[in-house]
Order: sequence, then structure tokens, then C-alpha cells
Amino acid sequence: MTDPILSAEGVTKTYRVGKREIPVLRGVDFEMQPGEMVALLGASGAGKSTLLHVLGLLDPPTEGRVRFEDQSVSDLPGPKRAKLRHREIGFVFQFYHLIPELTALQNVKLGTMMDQGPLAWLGERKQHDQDARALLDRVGLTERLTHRPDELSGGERQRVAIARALVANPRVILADEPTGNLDSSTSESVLELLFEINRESNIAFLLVTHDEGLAARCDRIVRLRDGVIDA
Amino acid sequence: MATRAFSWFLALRYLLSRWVNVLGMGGVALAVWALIVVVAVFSGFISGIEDNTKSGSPDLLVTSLAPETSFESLEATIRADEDVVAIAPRLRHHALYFPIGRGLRKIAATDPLPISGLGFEFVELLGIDTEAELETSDLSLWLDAIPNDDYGSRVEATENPLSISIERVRAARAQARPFDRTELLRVPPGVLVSRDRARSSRIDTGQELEIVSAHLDRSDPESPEMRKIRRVFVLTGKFESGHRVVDHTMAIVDIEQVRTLLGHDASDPGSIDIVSDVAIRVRPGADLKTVARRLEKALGNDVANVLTWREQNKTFLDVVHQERRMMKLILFAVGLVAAFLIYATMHMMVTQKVKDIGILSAMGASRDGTKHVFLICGVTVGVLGCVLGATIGCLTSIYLDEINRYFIRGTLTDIVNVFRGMFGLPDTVLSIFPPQLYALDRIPTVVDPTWVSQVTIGAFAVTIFAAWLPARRAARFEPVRALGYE
Ligand SMILES: Nc1ncnc2c1ncn2[C@@H]1O[C@H](COP(=O)(O)OP(=O)(O)OP(=O)(O)O)[C@@H](O)[C@H]1O
Ligand SMILES: [Mg+2]
Repeated sequence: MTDPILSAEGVTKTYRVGKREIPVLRGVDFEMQPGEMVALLGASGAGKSTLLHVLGLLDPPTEGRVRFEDQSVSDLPGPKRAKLRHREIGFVFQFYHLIPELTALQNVKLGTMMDQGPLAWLGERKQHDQDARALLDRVGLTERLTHRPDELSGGERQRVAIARALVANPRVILADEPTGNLDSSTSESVLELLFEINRESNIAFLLVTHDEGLAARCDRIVRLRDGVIDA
Repeated sequence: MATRAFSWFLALRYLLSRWVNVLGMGGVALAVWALIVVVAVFSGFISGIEDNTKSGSPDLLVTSLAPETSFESLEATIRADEDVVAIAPRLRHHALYFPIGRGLRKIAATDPLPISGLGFEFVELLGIDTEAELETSDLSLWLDAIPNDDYGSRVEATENPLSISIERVRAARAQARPFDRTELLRVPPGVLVSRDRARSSRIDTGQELEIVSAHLDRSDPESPEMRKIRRVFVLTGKFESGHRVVDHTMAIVDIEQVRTLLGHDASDPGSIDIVSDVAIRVRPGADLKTVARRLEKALGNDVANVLTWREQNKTFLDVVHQERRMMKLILFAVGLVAAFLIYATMHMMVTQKVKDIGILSAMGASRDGTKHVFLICGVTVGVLGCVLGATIGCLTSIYLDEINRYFIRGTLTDIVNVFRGMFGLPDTVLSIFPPQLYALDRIPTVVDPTWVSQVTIGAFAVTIFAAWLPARRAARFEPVRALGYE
């Protein structure tokens, strides 16, 4: 086995609502290998989204730590975490989360603007444009470049979101029920796309799902129950 | 403050998709515009008023003299000052007059109410030594200010007693004989009043005026006695100084006439050349205050006050400047409203965009990057508003007169009159500045570059602050909560 690319060590997450403490994660140990396709299963409210946010450095763990490769990253200062999130991690959400004012192409291109100053970005804008177009091409949206999100179907929106997650060449993609809002045939084609990308690249996927059948097609299944992973 | 490309890109997209931001920009532009134009017009008026005031007042005035002070006792000391160019004695005395041979007169609705309801009018006789006064104050301008066509009653050199006295002084000099001031007493007693006064009193040149007054006769110091003064003068001309107080209260006569009224007839050997004030013209470029204080010292501090033209008109000028300050304060409030507008639109935008803030975090935006998106939006709105307001404000101020002349009193009036015609209403002229109301032929404006830059930079600073608050709020959202925000 190679070294894990992303791992959680004794991660706990406790929310406080008023005086009440709600322990959601109670000590999660978890590793992902490069290029691996992992399914994360668990009942609704089990804490799957919470774990995904902690792993993606969007939310700090209450205790424990998150490692990226061999570096402890959950305790890095905000701007460093932002940079790592941009370079190494892509998110795909159930509700797409595209920016409504931007066209499909602009939504994807936005992913190339996180790290560069405006002038530097303009200097390379041809390259960025090509990359974004190529990715939209890859997800099958060559004809939809200038459509805004409200002019796209659910499946098309999710494809834009996938292209956006890929544009900065991340090594991990965290997908939170990416097909949870789609009908079964659209789901199937979106999933097929994800599996293809996984096969073609060395990107590791963590796929949150309720679908046992889908989970079975992944390299590995982890289950979250009572705030811990039970293998 | 290194910014990232996405902050600029998104700011631009947000702005272009939200026309409400034009409102914020318009608000800022309007406030800046108003601050520039109103202050330019006000400053124009102030400088006009100050010019008139200055023209109506000597550079320096020696005043608060004791009764029965002689000019001789002051002259040498004042002339000794290196910055004094010319001096002229003045003698003021209060009086009433009424036109002889005129019964009750009707007052037109446009006339100011007469100062006395009994047919008498109040004046302050200003006795001047014409020759000296011409060197010292703007007297010749006051006389020239009456246009030739003003009821055909321009001051005629020959019938002006003051001119006659100058002629006699010059004749004496030409013959190299000492000028005998008693000659002046043989000149018919003439009086000049301002054009406005002549108009409101309905008097014209040639009108005889009975002048009545009283004075305290101190010839017997043990029991000073009140004496009645009464003399007939002839209105021989009019003047216009532009200084309201001078124009409304003064009647100019020869100083010897006033001296005679006060018991110092030049033909009487015991008489002295009494004065109540001394007007002084100072070398151009000299600091008036310094000269004034120096003269006070030279004359002895308890002998006289020496006032600069500003000090002579302090209360009046203070009021005018105070009005400008009030105006600025009111307009500043307009600026605050514009800032609130920007704050409100930016706050609303942040509220609409909470989910985007979460998305941006997930994509790898730092908090600063998120903050910059909204800051750039607000600053762009502010900069555009300020630049637009300042540009239009300066142009409006500079061309206000033309705008008024050709657009408001021209085209716009024509348009309005078309509608009036349709409804059978009388024609009228629209004007933001009816010239007949101010007796000025142009709307005076002064565009002060310091004020323009102060306003623009100030408005800019305020809008940055108004944009910074919502931007800071945007940066404080927890990304995960922002993502779940509906
Ligand atoms: N900000 C919060 N404050 C308090 N409690 C929270 C907060 N966010 C999540 N929770 C709680 O944490 C628990 C786990 O939530 P999470 O969204 O991770 O579940 P999930 O496994 O993704 O469920 P689902 O399958 O329905 O998406 C839930 O009980 C939820 O109520
Ligand atoms: Mg969830």
C-alpha cells in the first residue's frame, strides 16, 4: 500500500446548540489512497456531510486532525487552508451550488481565479479558457457553454459542477450525494462520468450516497454509524 | 492587499446584474454634485458681496474718536505710517429729511417700507472732503456705477457740488494760492443719496430736502445744550456703492456743511476741523491688520479704534460665512444619505449572496478574497459616483449662467409655455436665478479646487466605509453555514 493522500485521525465534531452539545463525529479514523473510489454510507443525520466538510478543510474538527499526504492540515491558518482546498480538493454538492449570474463556462473558469492576481490571470487567460472549454467538453456540455444555471437541467448543472471541481487539477474530489437530486437515468449518466474520470486520472473520490448498489461499484465502502466509521 | 482575479471578476458580474447599484452611484453623484454646485454659487455670492463691501468701505477706518476731535490732531501721526497711501477726514451725523413741497405719497407694493411713517426719512449724513476721499476710497466708482440710461439721471459733473469743490481746489492750486475752505460754503449745499434710496423715496435731482437734526453744543462745558439743526439741501446726484448699509443709510454731503451744522463754521475763527472718522488707503499688498494695530498704537490705544474693511463689516460678513457653513452641513447630510444608500444596497447584495460565499470558500477562496468581492463592488460604485458627481458638478458650476440663460430660461420655458398655451395660462419665464432680484447680470460662481477635491475625497472615503461594513460581514460567514443558507 502507498501512503494515504487524505486521512482523518481521531476526528470528533461536536455542535453546540444553546447549552446542549450534539456530538456528531466521535472519533473518526479514515484513510484514502490516491486514485481510490470510496463510498461513504450512513443513515440520514449520521454526519456524512459533516465529515466531508471536515476532510475538505471547510470546517475545523473539534478534536483530532486531518492530514493531507504527510502534513497535518486541519490546524493550518485560514489562508493556507484555502490555498490547499483550491489546489488539491474539489467539491461536488447535491444541489450543484453554481453561481447564478455566471454562464457554465464562467462558473468553471472561476475555479482558475482563486489563486492568481487579476493581471497574472489575464496574462494566462487563453490557457484558462482552453482548460475550461476542454473540461466542459469532457463532461459533454460543448453546446451549453454560455447557458446560465437556470437555463440548464439538473444533470447538466451537476456536470458543470463536476467540471468546476476538476479545473484546478485536484487530487481529491469530495462528492456529497452528487446524484441525490437527479432522476435515475440522469443519475446513472452522471455517475458513469465520475467513474470514467476516476479511471482516467489518479484522482481519489469520496462519494457520499444512500444507494447500496452504487456503493458496491466503488473500490471500497465505509459506513458511518454512531459517529464512528465501522469497517 | 493582494487581490485575486475572482474578486474582480465576480464584483463586475454582480454589479452588471444589479441595476440597483446605479441608485447608489446616482446618490453619491448627486451628493457630490450638490456640494460642489451649491458651494460654488454661495462662494460666488460671497465674493460678490465681499467685493461690494470692500468697495463700500475704506481699507482702514479710524473710528470711535472722542467728540470734537480735530483732523489736524491725527493727520501727522497717520501719514507718518509707511504703509499709508492716502487719508480722508469724515464726519458723520444722524439726521432726518423730508422732501419739500410734497404731500402724502403712496407707497407701491414693491417699495420698502419707509423708515419713518411720518414722511420723514432717516439718514446718516456722511460729510466728506471730496478731493481726499477720491484718493482714499472708491467714491468715483460709486458715482460711475450709475449707468447713463438710469432714468436719464446720471450724476452730472457740473451740478455735483462735490465736483465743484474739486474744481475750486484744483483752481486754487493752479494759481499757486492756498485754498480757502470757506469758499466751499459758497457752494450751494448739495446732497447725494443712493439710487435705491432716491427710487424708494421717489425723489430726483433738483428736489429740495429739508434736513433736520440736533447736536449737543459743548461750547459751555458746564452746561452742554441741545441745539436744533435745520437746513435745506438740494439733491444734486446719486451714487451706488453696492454696500447695502452705505446705500441704505448714507447721504453724502461736503464735510464743511456738516461741520457748520455742528457749530464749527469754517468762517468762524474759533472753529476746528472736527472729524468722526478717518478713512485710510493702504499700500497694496500691506497686511491690513498689522497696519491697523500699528496705527492704534501710534494714535494711543484709548484715542481711536482702527478697523480693517473686514472688521468694519464683521457682523454682516460673519453672517454670510455662517450661512455657507450651514449650507455645507446640510449638504453633508445629503452625502450621508448617499452613503446609507450604498450601505443598504451592499448589505442587501451580501444577504442575497450568502450561498455564493459558501461556494467560494469551498472553491478555495480565503476570507479576504470574499471580502474583496464586495469591497470592489462598493468602491466601484463610490468611485464612479464621485467622479461623475465631481465632473458634472464642476461643469454645472462653470456654465451655470449659460445653462440658466439658454436652457432654463430658453428651451425649458418655451416647452412649459407650450403647455401653458394649451391650458390658456399666462406666459412666464422660468429661472433658477431671476436677475432682477439680485441686480447682478451673471450668476456668480467660484469653483474652488480645494473644496472640490475635499468633497470628492471625503465622499469617496465615506463610501469606502459604507462598503467596507457589509464586506466585512460577508467575510465573517462560516463557509459550511453559508452553503446551507437558504
Ligand atoms: N451547524 C450545525 N449545528 C448544529 N447541528 C448540526 C449542524 N450541522 C449539522 N448538525 C447536525 O449534525 C448531524 C449530522 O448532520 P449531517 O448533515 O452531517 O448529516 P448527513 O449524514 O449528511 O445527513 P444527510 O444524509 O441527511 O445529508 C445532524 O443531526 C445535524 O442536525
Ligand atoms: Mg448530508
